[in-house]
Amino acid sequence: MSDPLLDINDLTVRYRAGDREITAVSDASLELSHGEHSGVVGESGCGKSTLAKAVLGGLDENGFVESGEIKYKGQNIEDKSEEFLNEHIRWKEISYIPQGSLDSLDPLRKVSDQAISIAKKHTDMSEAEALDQFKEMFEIVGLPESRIHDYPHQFSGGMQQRGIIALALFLEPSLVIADEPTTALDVIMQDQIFYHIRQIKERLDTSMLLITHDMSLVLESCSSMSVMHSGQVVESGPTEALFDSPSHPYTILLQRAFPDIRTPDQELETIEGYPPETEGEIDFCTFADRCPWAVEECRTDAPAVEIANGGTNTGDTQHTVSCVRHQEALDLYKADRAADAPIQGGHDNDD
Amino acid sequence: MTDTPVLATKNLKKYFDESKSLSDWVFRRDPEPVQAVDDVTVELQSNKSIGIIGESGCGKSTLLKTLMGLHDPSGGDVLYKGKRMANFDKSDWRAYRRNVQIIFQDPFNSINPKKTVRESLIEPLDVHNVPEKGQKVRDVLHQVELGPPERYLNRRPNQLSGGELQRVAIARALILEPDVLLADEPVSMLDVSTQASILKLLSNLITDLDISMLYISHDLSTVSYVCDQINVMYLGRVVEKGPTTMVTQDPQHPYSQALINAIPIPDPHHEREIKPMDGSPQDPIGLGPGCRFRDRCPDRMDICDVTPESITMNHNETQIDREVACHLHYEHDEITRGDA
Repeated sequence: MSDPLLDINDLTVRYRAGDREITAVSDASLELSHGEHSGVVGESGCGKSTLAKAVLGGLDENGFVESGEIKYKGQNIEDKSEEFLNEHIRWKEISYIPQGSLDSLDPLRKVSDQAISIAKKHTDMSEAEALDQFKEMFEIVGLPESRIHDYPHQFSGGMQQRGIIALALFLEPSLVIADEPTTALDVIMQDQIFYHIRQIKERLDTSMLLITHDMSLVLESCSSMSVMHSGQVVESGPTEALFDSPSHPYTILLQRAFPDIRTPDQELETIEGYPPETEGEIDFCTFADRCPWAVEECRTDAPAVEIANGGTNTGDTQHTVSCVRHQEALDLYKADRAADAPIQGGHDNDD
Repeated sequence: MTDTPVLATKNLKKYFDESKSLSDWVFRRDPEPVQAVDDVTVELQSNKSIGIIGESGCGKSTLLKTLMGLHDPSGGDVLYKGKRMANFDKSDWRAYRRNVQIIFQDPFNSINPKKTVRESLIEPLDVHNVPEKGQKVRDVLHQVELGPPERYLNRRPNQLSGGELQRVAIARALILEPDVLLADEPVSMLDVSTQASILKLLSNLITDLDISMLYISHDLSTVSYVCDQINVMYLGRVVEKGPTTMVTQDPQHPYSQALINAIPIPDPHHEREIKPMDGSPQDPIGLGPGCRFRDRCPDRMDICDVTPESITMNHNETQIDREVACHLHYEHDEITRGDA
């Protein structure tokens, strides 16, 4: 158990674009233990999907792993061939739930047929065994067994997404990577999907890497999380540690930018500017230009990964942060807001 | 209360005809229409903002298009300052198009990618022959907090971030000094870090510029930042309306309750109970009478086959306008069973 299931170390992923090389993920590290549900949050373009694709060896043609390693069950997989990944990793070990469920199923084939062809390709299950197994997964995601022979168009959007989840779980992988699994769905359907994701956690010992822009989902359903900005993992650790004592300015501000239905009058934070486009080697903090508390050092060196809060709240996962001012970031934020409060209260709150 | 609303709908209906299927030909019947908007009454008072909340397919966008005059209503009325849209003549339409402006969901699709910010903003002024164009463009960029204007005037959409571009879209809507803004999910395509600033901007504009706004969204957690009052829609009907905080804190209709309960809470210490509610809204075709939520409702009763009336709930006699269309909330002896 001491070996993590997935261990990403100093991973750098780049995309070739003409004669330039865009750095999508820069020196990112991430650990996931057996049975753990972990979230990766960040805004669009932060590299979270690239990270997921790199793990599956599914980067776009112009993308490549520049340096670093991805270890799955102790074995390096970042340099493996398509054949190897298809034979040993995809579906059986690591499966993927894509964002656009509506165009992820083959519209011309029954869902059950799609499951059978996956089983044929990756296992030596018989057709009957495969169907039995698939029925079980249907039940876990809350779809009636009787509908496994339906075509995708006979399902509603939420059902299709659950069908995809059933397929992802089908060969009982140890790790499921879900890239924005509910972004295209309405809030009630999203809630249903997460209800079933919780069931999966209780019934199967599957780990999950949940990639999303919606921090609320991660705070609710994951035990650990990583926050990314412009390719850098700025902070990671147990969800509660990041919530209670965030140490990176981006985490602090992002967390407070989310509206909470329980407190409708709460002032929401905004983060000025937008993430920089990063080329080649990144030797600065990518958040520096948007950070209200940036100092000279932030622009001259990529911040090192350090243990946050003096390592006081260490559980299974270490709370780490990459910010030169991480020890004072939260205090700086609080001091700033305390100074703003009288002015803001004056014209924003009518009652 | 006695003022004429700037914009109102009265029992507005919009049905779409389905094409005739083979069985319709065989049985010589007309196909059932799609009841996208059914009996919707909303009133937008001047200098107020109201929200229309609902999931995809609930008819909120059809409602908006009908308000824009892109669809002809199948029944009921749209009233602009008390005047029926059905009776508009050419000059009324011209005034309406000028005074009622729209902000779309996705600025990358709603703003011409080949035009500079200046060109996009001048276009409505050209259409309506407004003088002092240069000054107007500068002023409006200040209003949407894109300053200094020189920095933005000659940029094209691909040189702006999503938040900046949405501000340009808002500027384009404001430049003709309208009375009403119709906003269709104006923040749903934006990242959270910019979402709040757009919400703040919209809410300040209502206060500062004497504008009213109809805000359409599926996201209940953001509406409280912009709307005084919300209407919850389900399958073409308004099931609940009331002041925003009242509805979000204490929803009365089972659908509003489900909708609010499903919103994730950004707090790992909070244990939100997830109630499984299966099924999804049916197609709004041939629905017949009855409450439209009844098949998914945890509190379904026999009476739910009768269309519930929208009744006003009196909250400690404060005269607060709050309505809910659900049989759980009124005595059944009092209603007339006209629908059954």
